[in-house]
Amino acid sequence: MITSIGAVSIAAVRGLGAFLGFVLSSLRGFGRTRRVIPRLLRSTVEQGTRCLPVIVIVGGFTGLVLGLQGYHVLRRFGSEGLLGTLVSLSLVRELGPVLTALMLIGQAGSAIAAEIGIQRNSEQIAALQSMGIDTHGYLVAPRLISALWVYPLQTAVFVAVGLGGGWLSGSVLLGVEDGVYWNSVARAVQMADWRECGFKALVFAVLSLGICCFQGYHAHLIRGASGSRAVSAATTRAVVLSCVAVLAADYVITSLML
Amino acid sequence: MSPPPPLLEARDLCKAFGDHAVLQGVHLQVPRAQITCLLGRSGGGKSVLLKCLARLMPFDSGELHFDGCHLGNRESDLAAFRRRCGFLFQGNALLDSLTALENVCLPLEQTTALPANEIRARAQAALEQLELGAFWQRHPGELSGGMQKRLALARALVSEPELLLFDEPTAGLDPLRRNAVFEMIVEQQQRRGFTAFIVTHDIQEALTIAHQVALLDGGRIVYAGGPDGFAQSQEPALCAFRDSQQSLLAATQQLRQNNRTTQS
Repeated sequence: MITSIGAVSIAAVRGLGAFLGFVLSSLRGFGRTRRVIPRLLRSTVEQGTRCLPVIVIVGGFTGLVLGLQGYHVLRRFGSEGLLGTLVSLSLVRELGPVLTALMLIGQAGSAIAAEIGIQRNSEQIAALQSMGIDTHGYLVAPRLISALWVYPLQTAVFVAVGLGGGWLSGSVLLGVEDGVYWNSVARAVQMADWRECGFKALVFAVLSLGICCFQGYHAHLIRGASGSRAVSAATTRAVVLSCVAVLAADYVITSLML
Repeated sequence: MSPPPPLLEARDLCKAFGDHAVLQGVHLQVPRAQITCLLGRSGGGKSVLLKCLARLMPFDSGELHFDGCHLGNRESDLAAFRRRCGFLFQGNALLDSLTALENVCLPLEQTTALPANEIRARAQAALEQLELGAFWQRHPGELSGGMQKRLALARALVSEPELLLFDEPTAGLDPLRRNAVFEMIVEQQQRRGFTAFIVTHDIQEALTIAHQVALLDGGRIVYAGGPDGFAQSQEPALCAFRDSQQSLLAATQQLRQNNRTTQS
C-alpha cells in the first residue's frame, strides 16, 4: 500500500517536472526558430477564430440561464435589482475564464494534441529533429504564446455575451428595468475582479495548451498503445487532464485571491 | 600523406531495449563521397543503427566520430552535425500541412539566414531537378508514392548535406519504381558528391550501386568491404544471408513458373 502510494507520488512529481521542463524548453526554443509570425497567426486562427462561434453560443446560454435562475432566487428576497451584480460577478470571477478554457480545450486543445500525436506517429517530429529544427520551439511555442492572448480575449467575449444573455432573460423576458440591471453590473465589477479574471485566463492558457501539446508530443511513450490508438489515447488524456488541471487551478487561484 | 578519415565512424556502438540487445558493439566506417549499403535481416537492428548514426535515437555506449571529430552530446556539436547531415525516412515523413514547396523550403528557412527569395529559388531548383517543378503547390497527400519519395529527397538535398542517410528508400515500392529510386540516388550522388549510407533489403541493387557493403548480423557488423568481396566471401554469416536471399528468389521464380503453367 505504502509502496504503491510512494510510486504514484514519485510518478506524479516526475510528470510535473517533465511538464514544466517541456513548457520552459518550448518558450526557450521559440527564440531559436525563424519566420515565427506566420506560425503565430496560424495558431491564433486555430484557437481564436475557429472557436469563436462556440464561445459565443455557450456564453449566451450561460448568461440566459444565470439571468433566469438568479431572477427567481433574488425575487424571493425582493432583490431583483441585484440581478446584474449576480450575473456579472459570476461571469467575471468564475464562469467566464473556466468555461472559456473548457470550450477551448474541447475545440482547439484536442485538435492540437491529435495533430502533434499524428506528427509524432508519422515521424514528422523526427524529420524536424534530423533537419536541426528545435521541435519544441517550432511546434509547441507558437501555440502556447498565441494562447496568451487568445484565452483572455475569448474570455472577454464570453463575459460580454453572457452579460447580454443575462440582460435578455432578466430584463427583456422577466421585466427587470434595463437601467437597474446595467447599473448594478457597472457597480459590482471592480478592477480586482477583472485582474482575477485575466490572471485565471492566462494560467488556464498555459496549463491547458501546455498539457495538450505535452500529451500529443509524447504520444509514442503511452504504454500498451501504438499508432492510431496511441494518438487517440493521448488526445483523451490531454482533454481529461487539462480539464481537471483547469478546475483545480481555479480553486487554488480563487482561494488565494479572495 | 595519410588518407582522409572516414566521414562517419561508429566505434563499439551498443543499444538495447530492455533485455533485448539490438546492437552489440558495432564498428563501422562510412567512407567519404561513396555509397555504403547496409544489409541485414528484418528486425536485425538496421534502422536502429541508422537512427543512432543520425543521433535521432540515443545509444547506450560507444562513440560516434564525424569528419574525424568525436560527436558528443553538446547541443552546438549536434546542431553543426545536423547542418551537414540529411535523413530520408522510410515513410518520407513529409509535413502534411505544408505544400511541396514549403516542405523543401523548411530546412533552409529554419536553419539559415538566407533571404526568402533565395530560399524559394533554391527549393524550386531542387524540385525541378527531381521533376516535381509542376507540383510545387500540392500537399504531400496529393502526390503518388514515388513523387513523395522524390519530394523527400528534394527536401534532404536542398541544404546540400555532406552525408545523406537513407532508411529503406525502396520499401513498399514495385520493382520499376524501386529501380527508379536507386537510379535517382546514384545520379544525385554522382552529381553532388555527397556520402550516402543506405539501409536496404535489396541485395542485388546494393551490390550494383554500392562502393561499400556492410552486413549487420547478431548486433554486429560481420562484413564491411567491397561488393565483390561480399559476393565471394565464404564467411558463414554472409553465406547464410546470401543463401536466404537466393532461396527467396528461387521460390519466387518457382511460384511465377507455376502460375504461368496454370494459366496456360
